[in-house]
Amino acid sequence: MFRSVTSRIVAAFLATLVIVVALVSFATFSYVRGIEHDQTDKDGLMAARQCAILMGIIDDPNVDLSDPDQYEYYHQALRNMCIDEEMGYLYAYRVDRAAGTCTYLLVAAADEEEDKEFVRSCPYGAVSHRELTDAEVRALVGEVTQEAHEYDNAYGNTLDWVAPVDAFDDDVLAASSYPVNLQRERVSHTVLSIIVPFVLVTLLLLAVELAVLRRYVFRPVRAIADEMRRFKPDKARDIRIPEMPQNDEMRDIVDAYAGMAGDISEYLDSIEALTQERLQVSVELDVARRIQLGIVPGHFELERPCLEVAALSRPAREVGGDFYAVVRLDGDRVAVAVGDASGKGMAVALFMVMVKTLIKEGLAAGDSPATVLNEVNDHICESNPEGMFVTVFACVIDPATGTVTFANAGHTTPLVVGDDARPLKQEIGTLLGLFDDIDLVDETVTLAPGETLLVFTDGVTEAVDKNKAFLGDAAFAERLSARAPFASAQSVVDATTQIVDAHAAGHEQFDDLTALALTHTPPTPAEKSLPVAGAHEVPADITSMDAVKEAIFATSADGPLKRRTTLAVEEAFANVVSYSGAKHAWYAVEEMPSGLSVTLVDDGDPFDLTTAEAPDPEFEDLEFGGMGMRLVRDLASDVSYRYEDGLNVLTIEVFD
Amino acid sequence: MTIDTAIDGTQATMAIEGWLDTQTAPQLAKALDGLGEGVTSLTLDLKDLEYVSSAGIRQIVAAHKRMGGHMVLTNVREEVLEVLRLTGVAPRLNIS
Repeated sequence: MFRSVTSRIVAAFLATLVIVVALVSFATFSYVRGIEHDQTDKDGLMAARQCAILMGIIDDPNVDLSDPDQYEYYHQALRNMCIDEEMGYLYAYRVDRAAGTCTYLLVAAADEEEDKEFVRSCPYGAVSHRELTDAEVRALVGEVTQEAHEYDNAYGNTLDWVAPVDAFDDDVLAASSYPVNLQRERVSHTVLSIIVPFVLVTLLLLAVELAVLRRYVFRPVRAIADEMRRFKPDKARDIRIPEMPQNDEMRDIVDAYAGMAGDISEYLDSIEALTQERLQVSVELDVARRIQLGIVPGHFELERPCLEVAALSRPAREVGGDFYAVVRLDGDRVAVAVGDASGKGMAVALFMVMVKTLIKEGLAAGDSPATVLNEVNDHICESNPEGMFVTVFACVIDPATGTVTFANAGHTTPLVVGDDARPLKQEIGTLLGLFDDIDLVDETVTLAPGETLLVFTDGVTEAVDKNKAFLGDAAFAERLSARAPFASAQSVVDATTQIVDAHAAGHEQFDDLTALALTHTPPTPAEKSLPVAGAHEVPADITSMDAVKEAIFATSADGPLKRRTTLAVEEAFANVVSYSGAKHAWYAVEEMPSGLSVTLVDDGDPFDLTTAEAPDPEFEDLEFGGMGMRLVRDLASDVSYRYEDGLNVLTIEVFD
Repeated sequence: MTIDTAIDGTQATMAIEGWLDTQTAPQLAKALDGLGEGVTSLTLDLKDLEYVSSAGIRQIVAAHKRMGGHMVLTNVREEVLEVLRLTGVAPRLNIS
């Protein structure tokens, strides 16, 4: 209901007004009533005494009130007196205390109608029976009572005063009478004449006060509120201050508000500028990072004969200094380098790019790792005002032998991963960039087939968990050992990131992570020198049998021999393509002095047909096979088998 | 390999010519499937069958079982017969 301050204040004003008016009215009424009563009593008693004096004049032997003319004369005099004294009634009567009667002598009323009625009902000598009042009793002994006696009679409620008439004997009294309602009217009239102006004046004052409040408080407050609501940061500069010329607290509020709005706008402007600036920096960093990712790809895989290279580089949030490089050299050799330049940001990224380029060029030129790193160190040391440095592990692997020639310039010790993971035995050299006489030397290590050289940066071993604890070299090697052996270079890299991620457990990493795995793989069948001279490679599926058949039939052996040979070879070959999972197959047909010799080679699962137990199914089950192996053994004069370098080599000889 | 099929009521004759080996055996399986339910006896004329491997024999055994034994091999060449003997199926088949 009283939602606004204005309405609350107006309500408070009205409540105050009502209470004050009520209190003032009550006080005024009490006071006026007292004064009015006193005055009426004085007037009433005075009138009664005047009446008594008139009756004293009438007390003359010559006056006979029973004579209507004389009665009328004195009645008129009494009535005039009544009017003059502003009384309702004046009358005189004789009291007979013994008989308990009052006998009226002369009566008059101010009002003409009432006067006639009064005279008619109480003519001279009319008797009424009634108890005497205290005032009448006292008057009979000459005492007057100023206080009016109020009683109810035919003329309504009246106030009566009694005065003794001295001239007659003691039992004649004069009385004046005044209607109560007239007295009340006079009281209320007087009260109203005081209260009404008071209320009006008070109302006027309140109105003036409200107007003043409205002008100096309510309207300014509302205007300020409106202005504040309209406030928009971007338009703050054009703030329109409500017109309030006076120099008061409202003015202070407006000034304070204007100052605050200006400040807010200024702050917003500077925040916007800051945001813009940060955005620009972040865009620049983003570009730098993309450049870095372009130069150091996040993922790399290379497969060469007897060699697999897999690398992963995962920069931290900002541009870092990790890099790796892979260079293909002549004769299947591959050179790799992994480095970690100190620091973060654009400068180190540029430094890293320079170092990487120099190393790559050096390795591509065929120089040994130590030579390349020494030269790069000289180059950096020529001009390195920023004192930047870089750790590098560089190596060249010859897949034919698994020999790795390497040089380590202060880089984290790589791991040799085979059935377990162990640190590479090496002399750790000095990092590049700080000293111009580091003199790195080449060292060598030979990787057995299946072994992997894992080169990584300290982002791996210094990965932190939520308690800021490093993963550590020993723990990393131990966890990697637990997962060994690995099927490929990529699986070593994958295991590395999994171990790091498990340790970090979602905790943001602040260092780049780079891992490069160099696996000396066993030779694939295609790369092997086949143990059979003059073998032809064919797809490992049954259609290749046509070529074998053709080769057999091209020999000079006789028909039945060629057929039997074909049958034996077909049964053996069907077995290879159906069950061994071979991808490659070779065959060689050789004429012997007394027959044919066919050699089948495949890279499937090892299976020795010469010793395997041949199935012997019932006739009813023969439709599902089981005859092939026996056919081979029965048809061939000699069957020999060997498993060599991952290859099945089966020779079937059929003689006449 | 070619297969020439002739059906006379419930009696069918298949003349197989060429090589019945791992690669061609599925053709014979298909031809046997194509005979239909009405055929209850079968004659395989092997006059021109030059070569059979275990894969071919598997199909011949399957046909023999399907005909409930009412299958006859005629004009079997020596080289084919040799293979049937080697695999041990010759005594169980009706060879005329």
